[in-house]
Amino acid sequence: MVKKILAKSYLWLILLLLYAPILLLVIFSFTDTTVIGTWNGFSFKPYQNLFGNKDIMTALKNTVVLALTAGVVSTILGTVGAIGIFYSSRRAKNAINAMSQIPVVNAEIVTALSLRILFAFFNIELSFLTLLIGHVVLTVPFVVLSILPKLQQMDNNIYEAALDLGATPSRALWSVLIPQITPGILAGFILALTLSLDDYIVTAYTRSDSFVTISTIVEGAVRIRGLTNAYRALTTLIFLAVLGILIVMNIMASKKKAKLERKF
Amino acid sequence: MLKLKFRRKHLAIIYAVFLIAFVVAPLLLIFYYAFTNDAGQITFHRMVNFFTDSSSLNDLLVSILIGAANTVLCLLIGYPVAYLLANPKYNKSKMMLLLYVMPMWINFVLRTGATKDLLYWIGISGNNRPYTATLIGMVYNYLPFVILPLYATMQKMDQSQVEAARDLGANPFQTFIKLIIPMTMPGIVSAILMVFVPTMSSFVISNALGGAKVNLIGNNINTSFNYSRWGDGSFMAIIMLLLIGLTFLLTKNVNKEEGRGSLW
Amino acid sequence: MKKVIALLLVVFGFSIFGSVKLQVQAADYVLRVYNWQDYIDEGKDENGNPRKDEFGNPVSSVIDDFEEYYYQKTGKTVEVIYTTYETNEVMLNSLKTGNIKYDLVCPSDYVIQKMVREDMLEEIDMSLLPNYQQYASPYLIDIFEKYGWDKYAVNYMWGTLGFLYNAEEVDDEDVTSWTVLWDENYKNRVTIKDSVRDTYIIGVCYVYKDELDELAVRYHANLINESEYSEAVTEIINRRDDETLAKVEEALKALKKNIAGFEVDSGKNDIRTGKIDINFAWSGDAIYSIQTAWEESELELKYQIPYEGSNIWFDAWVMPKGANKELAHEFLNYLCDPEVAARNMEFIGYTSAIAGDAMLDLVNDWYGVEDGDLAVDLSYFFAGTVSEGKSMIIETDSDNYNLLLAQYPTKNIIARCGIMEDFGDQNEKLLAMWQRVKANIVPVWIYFVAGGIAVGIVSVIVINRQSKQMRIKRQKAKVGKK
Repeated sequence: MVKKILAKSYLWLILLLLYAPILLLVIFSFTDTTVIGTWNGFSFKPYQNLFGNKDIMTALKNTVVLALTAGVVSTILGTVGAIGIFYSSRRAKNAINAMSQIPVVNAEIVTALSLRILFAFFNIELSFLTLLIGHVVLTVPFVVLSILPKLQQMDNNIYEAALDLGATPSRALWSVLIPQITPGILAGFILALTLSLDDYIVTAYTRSDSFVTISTIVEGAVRIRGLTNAYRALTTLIFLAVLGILIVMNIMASKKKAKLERKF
Repeated sequence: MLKLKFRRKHLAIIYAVFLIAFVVAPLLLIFYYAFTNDAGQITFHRMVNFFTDSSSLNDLLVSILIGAANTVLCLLIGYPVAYLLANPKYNKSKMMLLLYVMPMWINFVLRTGATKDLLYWIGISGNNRPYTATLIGMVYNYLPFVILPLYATMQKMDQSQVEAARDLGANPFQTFIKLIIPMTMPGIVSAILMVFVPTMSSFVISNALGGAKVNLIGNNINTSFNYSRWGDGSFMAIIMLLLIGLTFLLTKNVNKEEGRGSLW
Repeated sequence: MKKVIALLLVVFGFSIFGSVKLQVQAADYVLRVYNWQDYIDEGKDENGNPRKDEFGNPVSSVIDDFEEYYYQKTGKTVEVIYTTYETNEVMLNSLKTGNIKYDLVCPSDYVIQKMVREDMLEEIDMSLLPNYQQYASPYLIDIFEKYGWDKYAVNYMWGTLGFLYNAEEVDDEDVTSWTVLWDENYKNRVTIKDSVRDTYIIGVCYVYKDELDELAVRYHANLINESEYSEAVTEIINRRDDETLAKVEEALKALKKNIAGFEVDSGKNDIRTGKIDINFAWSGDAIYSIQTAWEESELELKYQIPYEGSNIWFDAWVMPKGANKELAHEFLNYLCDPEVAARNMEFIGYTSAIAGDAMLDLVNDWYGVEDGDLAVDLSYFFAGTVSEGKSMIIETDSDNYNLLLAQYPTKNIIARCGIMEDFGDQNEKLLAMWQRVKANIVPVWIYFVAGGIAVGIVSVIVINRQSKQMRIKRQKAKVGKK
């Protein structure tokens, strides 16, 4: 009994410590002050500051657009790649897998630096395209890693059966093979989104300086002046959004569980 | 006319081309710039300078120490958390785990800024305790990355073995050292890989929290690049690659030996 | 399944639409301007939100005003893409390795020299800059002509390097020498710049303090005149031989132990919040800080240029090769309008290169005091740009004196300031030296700890191996017995 209490308290203590910085910002996002520690009465001014700040709003929009675009491109390329790898000869499979693992194990700054040097070497001007390439390089190996297991679990014969029944290879691919690996594709897409939204280093090295994302604008603020209260409002909103998604997921999961239990 | 029959494995070519262009070629360029001077001739002077200059060796040492300290701290704090989360005796719902993982979905630069504010509020800042502040910031950032793989491994852990050990008379301490740790070794190794080298190659946290006084290899690569010194940046990138390779080698052996996780 | 595909396509469509919208220029022309951070009035306050003037009207951004002005003048729309950088080195890096096609960049003097040397710039057509010709201070134009920058650069702001300090915590005497930074009484209460050339000034003035002190004595004894003095100082602060580099490196490494940190933009705020007492600052930041500190909390900050000598710097607009010259000149001419220049000056705190009647009136407005007991002669700067008979002497009092001098230093002060030159081939060594200065200071006991840990790990591995071998041996023996 004592053990259980100790265990629970440890878990909650560490959790609290983990959230302490965020909670601090959340609390002080409801008062109009520059310095954390002074409470100037309840106010929504930081939220006004946030929505009135064109730069942060643009950065928010940019971040989302970039993540979605990178996510889609990465998912498509990753699906193509995973299918290709799965059906390749052992040598090709090993070679491509090895290359694909490099961004995963590599330090992000090496990936970022190498890409920037590549673009500079060929005198390519930094633009949204170079940034997109950077994000795809960062995320596509993870998409492949999400899809390969599904391919391994898949029933291999169905594709051949479809071909025998007269389907063209592309039709068979589209209607038969891909539906079986859809959970992997979806998981890969979400993973790519997450990685892209959170990224700083590759973004900083491959973007055109006029394209600002949340990561870069916050980094500038943190390093130079410290977070202004608009950023506290931003943190609170993001925190609430993530919490909301969590709760929704939890509800959906327990609903599914209840459904299954009812069936039996 | 040679008509190529479309095989699924041909899809791999698209992915392979992408990887060669944007993963392999950039790395080759890094090697090129690391070992050539401005005139394009091959030179090893960067290597010589790096290993004979006390400043670069100091930075390497500090990076390794901070990387190791961060890894150890995260493991010390995170191992019990993962253990308790995975043990149905102490934790039944998935909610706790999700709460622990949730910080990863909040932008890490924002979290770093929040940590900086919290630390400043309690009196620690880059001005008076740069290394402490940086280390705390690192632990905050990397703790979820340690808890996840450990949790995954512990979930698969066979509780019956633990019970068997107890029945055979082993005290909790012996059970822990000789049974549980070896069984969770793959998780520990995963955690080390996800924390040790990334810590050394990051620069955002050390910049923000260390007041530009904490210099990790990541910082040096970034500074070199900002000063357009591609060669030096590239060489240090290679040092990073070496360290990554080294970590892999060392942990591969550990995994091989301890993989079975039994009493003998 | 179909639903998933449909969803993905919709998402993809939106993102493509979104990204395309980002790329498509609605305007007829685009002007890419790359400038220092906080170096123009964008009509925003510290939070990045639009601010209001004293009448409660929203303040517009100079950039938006230019776009409006250009449309009124030519009927065509221009979109100004305005981005910023923190140091010259970052700017050069974006220009060279990012291959971004800027139309206007605002480097410092020594970088302009480098860019001219490497043939990176388009030439300025003075006939397209009537405002600059009419209103820019001839004193500054002379300097530009002397160095040959006038063909490529249009001066924007200028100033000095010195100490911004908290007059309530710091003795006025202390900050008359660079050595105060090494003073242990101020340990952890001073900051220097994370900018290699600026901090190099500190180092070189410290190393050659005796020489500089002697020059000061000779100047005040009228043995050398102003230009000889500043030329001598210029020579000293630009010393870049290996021996000097080594001595500066040593001095800066020692300095590092006494400072609170390196900064570029946070110092001017940190001193107002009391985190530090002395900030190595550009004069413009000092002016901004002094004014803001007084308004916010009546905290008295002051600016002082050490007696050994310092640096006088110029930031000027240049056009990288391939720039849209016509548009760029239009923008520059707009910036050189005295009213626009005054606006910028007032907001960012720096001193504009633009003179003229309007500017002189503004300076009198800010610093002039009726029947003040101190007089500052600004004719060296304003002569040739103001109307006949207008007085160029500002009467002021002791409250405003320090700030006025920070804005417009007297000729005596300028005499002891040197101009930075490009270090050419020694740049590489300078940067290497700088990285060594910024490297971690590792106290000796760390080496022991690291060594101990390494030994510990190795012995654990060895012992593990040994005990395994022993166990295998014992098992083999057991089996053998059977």
